[in-house]
Amino acid sequence: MKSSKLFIVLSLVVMASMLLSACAQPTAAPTEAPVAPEEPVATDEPAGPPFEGMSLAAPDCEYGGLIKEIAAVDEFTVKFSLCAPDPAFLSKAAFSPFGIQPKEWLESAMESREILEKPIGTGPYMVESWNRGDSIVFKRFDGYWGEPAKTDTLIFKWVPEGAARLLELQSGTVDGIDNPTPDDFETIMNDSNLQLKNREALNIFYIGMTNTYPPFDNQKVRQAIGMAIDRQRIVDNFYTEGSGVASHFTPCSIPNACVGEDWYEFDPVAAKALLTEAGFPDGFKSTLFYRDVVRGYLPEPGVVATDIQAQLKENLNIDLEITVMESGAFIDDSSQGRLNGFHLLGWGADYPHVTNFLDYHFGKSQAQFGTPYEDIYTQLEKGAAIADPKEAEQYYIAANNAIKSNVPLVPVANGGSATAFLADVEGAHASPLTNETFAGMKPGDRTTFVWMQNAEPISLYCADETDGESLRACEQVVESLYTYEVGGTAVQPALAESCEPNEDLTVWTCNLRQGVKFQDGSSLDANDVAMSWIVGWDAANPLHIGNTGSFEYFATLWGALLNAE
Amino acid sequence: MFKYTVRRILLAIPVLLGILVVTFALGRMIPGDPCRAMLGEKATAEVCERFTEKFGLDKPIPVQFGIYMSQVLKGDFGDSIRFSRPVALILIERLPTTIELGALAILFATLVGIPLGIFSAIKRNSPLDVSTMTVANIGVSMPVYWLGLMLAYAFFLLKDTPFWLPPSGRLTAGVASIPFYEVWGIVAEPGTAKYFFLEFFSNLYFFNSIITGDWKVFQDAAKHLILPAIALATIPLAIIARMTRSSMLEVSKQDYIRTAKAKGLKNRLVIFGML
Repeated sequence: MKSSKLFIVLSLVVMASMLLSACAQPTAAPTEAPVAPEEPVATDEPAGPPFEGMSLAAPDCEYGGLIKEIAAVDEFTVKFSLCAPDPAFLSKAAFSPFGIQPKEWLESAMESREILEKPIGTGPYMVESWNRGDSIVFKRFDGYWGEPAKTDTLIFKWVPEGAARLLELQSGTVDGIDNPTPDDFETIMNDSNLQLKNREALNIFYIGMTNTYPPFDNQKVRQAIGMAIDRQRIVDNFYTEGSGVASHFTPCSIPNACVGEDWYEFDPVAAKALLTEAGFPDGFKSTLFYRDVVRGYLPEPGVVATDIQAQLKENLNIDLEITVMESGAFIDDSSQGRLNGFHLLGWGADYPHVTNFLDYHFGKSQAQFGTPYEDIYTQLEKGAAIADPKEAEQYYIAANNAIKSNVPLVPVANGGSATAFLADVEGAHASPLTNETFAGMKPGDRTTFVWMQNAEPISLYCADETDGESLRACEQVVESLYTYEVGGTAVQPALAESCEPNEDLTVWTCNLRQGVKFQDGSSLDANDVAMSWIVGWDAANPLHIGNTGSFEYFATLWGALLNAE
Repeated sequence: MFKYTVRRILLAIPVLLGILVVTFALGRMIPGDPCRAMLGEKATAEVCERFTEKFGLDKPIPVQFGIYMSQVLKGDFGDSIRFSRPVALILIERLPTTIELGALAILFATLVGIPLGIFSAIKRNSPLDVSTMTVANIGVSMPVYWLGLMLAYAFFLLKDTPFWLPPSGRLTAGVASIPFYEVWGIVAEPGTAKYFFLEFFSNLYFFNSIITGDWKVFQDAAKHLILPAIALATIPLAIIARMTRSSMLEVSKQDYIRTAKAKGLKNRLVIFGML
């Protein structure tokens, strides 16, 4: 009896110690007292010491990345030297992971992780509070250099269910919601109190073929397949409002995406004739690979696969066996060109530039569709050496025409989504990049704009985040050198008045806007820009901490991190 | 009662251990690459290598399990892969919400379930009894998440009436619960134990609003809690109602109850006696 009591007491002590140790988790004191944002300081302060620009250079380009050097040349000039020409520099630099925060704030708030909850930027809103699990409250930044925000307060809330978000909107407790369920589009459009904004699709769903396996090594076979699939039927039956049939591989809202000829019209008779000419009058047998993973570009993988199977049987007598693969294995095999048959895949934009679609799929080193097509990649290489979209247009016309002629894939659909707002919200829009700008929205005569999205942001230090929910929140507070136009993808100057390339696009020199204030009152200079970039790019930097330490967009968009082990 | 509570807690330990084993095994059995599942299919090989190393996924499974168990026993549930913050901290942050919701749901279930059970027992086999028990059976069978959505829809129809209730959230956007320690001028350094406990109790909105006298927040928090509390209370309410009814019926057949009735004791007093 005594021993059982002792056991009970001991167990309680163990559980109490577990609880205490769990409670003790947040008590670790930060290594450095964070610098709290203060009221803006007076601008007529005495001149400080001469400006000392910081810089970091890679010893060479062997590390595999695109950036060679980042240097603050003078107080308002930053120079980015690259290992290879990059016409998409501005499109990438406009992306929110490359937002600029004060150098001093990065130094003081990174290690304590305070920066994850309290970014300090130059944007129209500043973070007032983050009530974990409930909401984030932003207040208008009165020292904003651009047009001030139209509402005093912006609140982000989140609910995962589309139906629940719509209920909140219908109830008037929020002013705008992200991603209403497609089934509710009609309800929203028929409700005079609401407005629906279709989000232009920035993705592509395609049917890929690998030319190293017969009969896909025969161009006529691929061309026959290219015109034998009724893509409109697929979009009508399986895609939501706002989606569309793809006329080209790259979504048309991106400059130079849809130059050149449109894709083949659906013509089963011509397709059959072409397949007969290619030596397959009775069709052939093959396999259709896909992964059962829902994406914006492919909302119903299983039924779409079945429909394609039925169409190819009906139109070309091609017998397809459908094989569902595990997602990781499917990506590995498809990207290495190891799938003998058709594969269903898609792509969503990382940054709105044609290179993000064409070069990633049809570049000289890409093996996804088998042996790379020379007449495509030579045009892409020429286009990638020119920054001016107009000047590069001729090469993308040729590249798109070569894609149509070679048919490494069949571009099928651009999958759309939407946002919804109360009818009295002025300036309501849906951004193809999902970075809606709330500073320009005015909700009737209310002074607070409430936005409800799918999920809680992970952190507000977006140099080390990838999810759209976090990036959208960051974009209200932190600005980059360039920005995307409201509701579009074209880039325009933000913290930089201009970024000019050298002749071969390997050096970009950015001239910063002068007189820009951060939300802590400090002034923007070139060291803030250099530091914001360097902490993300250089894995050996003591401040390369972030949230996970992955800095994935730095690694992905700029090839690799410097000093990554 | 104390012994019973302790016994139940001790019995929960092997159950928790079992859950840990099963969840760990399930996590490892799911096909696919955890890196690309978390970071997306465009994550580079270098990024995935660092991810795998950081989370110890390159170690043998038994070693991973050993690390996992030793950390859990120390109260360290690791960092959330989504938020990159300690799981224990996230749990504790959300605990005040759970406490408020759970307490209100139990209160509602008890206050409604017991009287319903009593009335059903008193009016046995009457339409009231049959309908109450039918509703109770439906209540037990109904998934809470579905009921929650249905309640939200139902109360949405009452929009523009005083009976409308908000479908989600803890407070209306723009209504802020000012922590009691700020109201009282208590200063605590973020990251300290004092700050942590003050934050914890101030996140109990009912408690915080009562002690600060902020009745606007109290009212708003109450409005937000009603629907989720009703949804959460449905199953315990139904169980309580059925248990109360069967207990009442069982006791009503006892000799002493029959004797009391035979001696002319008023029915109301007999019922109170049974309770």
